[in-house]
Amino acid sequence: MGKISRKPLLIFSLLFFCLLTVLMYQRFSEKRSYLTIETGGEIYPKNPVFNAPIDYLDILKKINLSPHTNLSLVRHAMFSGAGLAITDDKDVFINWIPEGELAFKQGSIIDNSLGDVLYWWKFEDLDANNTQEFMAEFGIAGSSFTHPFHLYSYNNGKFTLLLKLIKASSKTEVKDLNNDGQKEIIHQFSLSGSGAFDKATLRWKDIWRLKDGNPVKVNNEFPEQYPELLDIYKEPLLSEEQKFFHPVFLCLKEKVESNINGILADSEDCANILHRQYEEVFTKIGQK
Amino acid sequence: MSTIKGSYSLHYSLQSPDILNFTTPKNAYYIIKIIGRAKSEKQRNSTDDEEVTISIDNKTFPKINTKKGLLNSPASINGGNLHNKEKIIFFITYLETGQHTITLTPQHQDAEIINVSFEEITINADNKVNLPLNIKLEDRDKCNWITFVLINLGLRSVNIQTHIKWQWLDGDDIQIILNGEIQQSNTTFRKDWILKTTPLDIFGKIETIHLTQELPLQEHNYIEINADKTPTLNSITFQLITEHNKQETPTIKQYKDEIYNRDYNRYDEHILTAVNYWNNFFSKQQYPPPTPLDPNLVKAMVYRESKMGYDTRNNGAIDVMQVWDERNPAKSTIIGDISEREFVDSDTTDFIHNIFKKEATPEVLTPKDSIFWGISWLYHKDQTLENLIKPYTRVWFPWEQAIRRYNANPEIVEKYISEVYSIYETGIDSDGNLLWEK
Repeated sequence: MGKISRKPLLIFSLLFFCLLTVLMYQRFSEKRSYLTIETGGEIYPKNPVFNAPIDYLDILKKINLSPHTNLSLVRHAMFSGAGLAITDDKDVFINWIPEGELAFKQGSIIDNSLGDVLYWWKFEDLDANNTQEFMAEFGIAGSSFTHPFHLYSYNNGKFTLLLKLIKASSKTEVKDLNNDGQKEIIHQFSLSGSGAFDKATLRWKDIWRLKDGNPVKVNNEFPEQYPELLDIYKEPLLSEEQKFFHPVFLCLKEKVESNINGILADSEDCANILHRQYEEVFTKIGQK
Repeated sequence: MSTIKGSYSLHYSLQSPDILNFTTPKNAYYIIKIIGRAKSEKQRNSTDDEEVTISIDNKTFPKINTKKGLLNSPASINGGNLHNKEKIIFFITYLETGQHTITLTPQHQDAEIINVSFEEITINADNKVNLPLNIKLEDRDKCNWITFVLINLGLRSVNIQTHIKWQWLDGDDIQIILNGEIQQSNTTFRKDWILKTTPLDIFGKIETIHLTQELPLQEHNYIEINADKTPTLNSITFQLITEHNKQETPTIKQYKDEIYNRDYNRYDEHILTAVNYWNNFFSKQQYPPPTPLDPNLVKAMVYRESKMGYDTRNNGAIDVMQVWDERNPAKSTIIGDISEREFVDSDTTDFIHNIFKKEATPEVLTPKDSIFWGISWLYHKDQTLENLIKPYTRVWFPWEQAIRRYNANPEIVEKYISEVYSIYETGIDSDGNLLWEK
């Protein structure tokens, strides 16, 4: 029998051992840090985000994006506000998604676009192109009943903000209104969030759809969605007390009728009328 | 101080009514100090306690809301309470130039007057008077210590700086009573004692009590400080209401409605009660708000939110402050479905639902409830923690910022602020209606 050389085996074993050592070192020397705060006899955060850009962040919920990454809903252990971050499988912070950042100044969120609390979030293929979009509706604690809605595309591990809606007394639903396989975003809101009357009557509804990956308003494609708004405007239009709002209601009524007649209209002109009226009032008050 | 009679080295026994005369050099505010003691029935071997009643220029000081209740008045030296321990009564009053009299009337012959003196005091431009006192009296067991009597003066706020210490098996405690109402602490036990010590306070600590409960300008107001053991009263600062600034007292403005004849003042009492409640609640804590909440600001908010409940949409008839709606996470936070923290003291923060639950059951079934919880939320939005390292410190925002955070829509909030402040400052609503005139 020929003699087998042991040298290559030895070299191979040595290399394998070195590689294993490097991998083990990487695994166990990974730095994961976070700060805790003890209050009321309990330690916070309960599910910390490691290496986060701000301290005391807690993970409330996660959606698995890949074997090693998650989309995490995070919250500060002491202050209000929700954030959306990409974290790894060991809850180490990777980055914020666009507009998902939590930044505080004296305990208040700076640019709180997401909100204080998450109502729902999901991935769904809105435009039937076999790619799922990500969307989330939040709530801001306040008497304006503001529920910000954010829509993102998600491609190759990257989130891109497509649509951000932050209106008073708002609610957003996603439905396939005409059963064509494409889903519409139905965003109902009020032109003003000051007071019960404004929130209940200065109502509008925009219907959005993704076209070539971009959100566009398609209100006039769904005329059956609009007559219900006319019922809301009827009473204030007849009321003497609400005279201040008459031009705005007349504008809204006209816009609704446009959509019913198949002509695209939204509430932006009416919001401008409302804005101008308030400006006039406050200018007069200032003069007094 | 100018001594009228007696001194710490020269006590004298009060056997019968004693009339003391003194002369003031000019028209000014004065503080009159009377230190005395009286024996209890047991100490007298009798069935009646000794008690000394006091009058100044024939003006008597009965219990609040009575005309004849001179006995057991906060302005008397009552042996039944004192058991022969010293008590100091300070009278703060305006006196004209000339002669004045103090009459000390014992019931029996078992009282002792230690010192009677007077001094002119200066009330500064913002009606504050600061009295550096540094008073420490003999050891006592939960009884009267010092009483301030404000004569024809009202009170906006009072700052009381004390030094308290734990002493062997018991510690110094302090109780404050404003016109008969015991000021409650924010603790679970012994709420009646606003300042308490524990064995951890063996080296002593300086504590400041800030109270903003307003006492109206009337014949007399009483601020009683009771003590356990031997605390020190370092200083006291009153913000007073005097005759000349009586008009500035924040009273709730009356709104008018000449078009629909609505009563926009129908919730004034609820607003005043709730504002006083929360002002008082936070003023007793460490880092109290620098400016108490003005009920007129709340009234302007209630008007803007629901026209005092006349706007019935969005449950506006009940939820007049629009705080209690499923669509508003403020409700979920107050009841505890969402956790949010607030400063309690320098060692503690707690979820606001835990803090508030101690005060009342969070629920809105009436406009009164909506106002109560709406103000609690407004107060929550007015504060934050400066840092997250103990000892915690609390920072208060200006009220305008709290209102901004109360509405909280980033797009329209500036308009909301303008509307509320227009009603608050000028009486004009966004429809151009004049609700009140200056």
